[in-house]
Amino acid sequence: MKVRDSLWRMIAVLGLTALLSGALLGFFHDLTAGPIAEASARQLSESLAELMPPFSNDPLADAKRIAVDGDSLTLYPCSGQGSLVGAAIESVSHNGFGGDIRLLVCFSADRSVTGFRVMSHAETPGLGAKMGEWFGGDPRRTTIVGRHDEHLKVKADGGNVDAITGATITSRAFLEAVNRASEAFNTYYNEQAEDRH
Amino acid sequence: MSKLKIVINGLITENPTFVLLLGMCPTLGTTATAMTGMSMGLATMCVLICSNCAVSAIKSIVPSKVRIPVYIVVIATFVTILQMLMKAYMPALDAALGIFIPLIVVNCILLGRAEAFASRRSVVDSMLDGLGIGIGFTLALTLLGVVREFLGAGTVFGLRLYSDEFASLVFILAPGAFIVLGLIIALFNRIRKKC
Repeated sequence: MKVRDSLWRMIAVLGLTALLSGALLGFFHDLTAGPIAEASARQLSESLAELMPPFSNDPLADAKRIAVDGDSLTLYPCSGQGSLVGAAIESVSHNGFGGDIRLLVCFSADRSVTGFRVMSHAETPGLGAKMGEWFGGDPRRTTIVGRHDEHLKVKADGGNVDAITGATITSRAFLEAVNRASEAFNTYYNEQAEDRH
Repeated sequence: MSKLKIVINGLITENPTFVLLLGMCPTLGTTATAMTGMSMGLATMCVLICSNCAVSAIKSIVPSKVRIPVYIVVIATFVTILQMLMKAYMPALDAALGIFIPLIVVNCILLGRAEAFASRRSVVDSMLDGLGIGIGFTLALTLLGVVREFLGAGTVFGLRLYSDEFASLVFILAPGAFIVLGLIIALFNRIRKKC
């Protein structure tokens, strides 16, 4: 057997490659860990600034976890001048057409939806993927912005929200995520009210 | 082969999408819009240039029996680095391309070029080959994306050209990808034969 193909040489080359690759990855991980965390925090605070009424605290630092049937949702309370102006909830539905749908839903203190952001989804492009524009204030359609009941349903299920044409499953999952967010907000709101008494 | 010829080779004679028909998974998956198609092409090009250079640089010390695992480790390393950089500095793009960035690892264009070109040629030639194939792939994906987005959503690079009520959704979905790809390959072959 030639030296070039000897067992030890193979082990050495493969081992060295893996070692070098590991070192390189570790270096880049350290390099990008900070910016990655910053980027996602910046994205979140930009969404909050845009969707919430004006607030003066740091919602990211005050974040709370609230349990809603089986999941623990993150709630970002926003307050100004000592009173609660609203909160944003990172909500999720596991019943999307292509997996999980993650939303950031914002509520004002009167429990109505002030806005939302679709954070991640795997719905069909052109159908379910339109949920952001469909439910988000397009005047031709039923928007969920401004609503304040906890049990939004599509018309096919006896509710009063127009489902996305050709994507009823996505619409149901989307509303489920919104409803769960609203449940989390109410839980938090009631807790706060009890604290005040 | 002259240096320029290596680049042109990747662009036309051995265009990865229209002639070699390699890397079909990202080709069909990411070309629903022109923007994601182009980004995917550019991301692949970055990894391809790096991996071609690296493979060419280590070709004389790698025993042929373990060359494939070595190539895969090299490619996977560059892909992971690219993904970390994108997450850090281009989070929106990373969200748009999603699962397809890690899948560059198993893109046969990269392994194919490492095996067929970079493991036999000099570093400079391999880099040029990566550039040529990369540009060829990017142009192909952008073209597919433009056609699909125009027919399926009525926009090109997000710019609305006609109302989406007249657009036909099938071109955004998977079957439309195959139809458009087939038609463009036919057109490409016809033009190539005439030249």
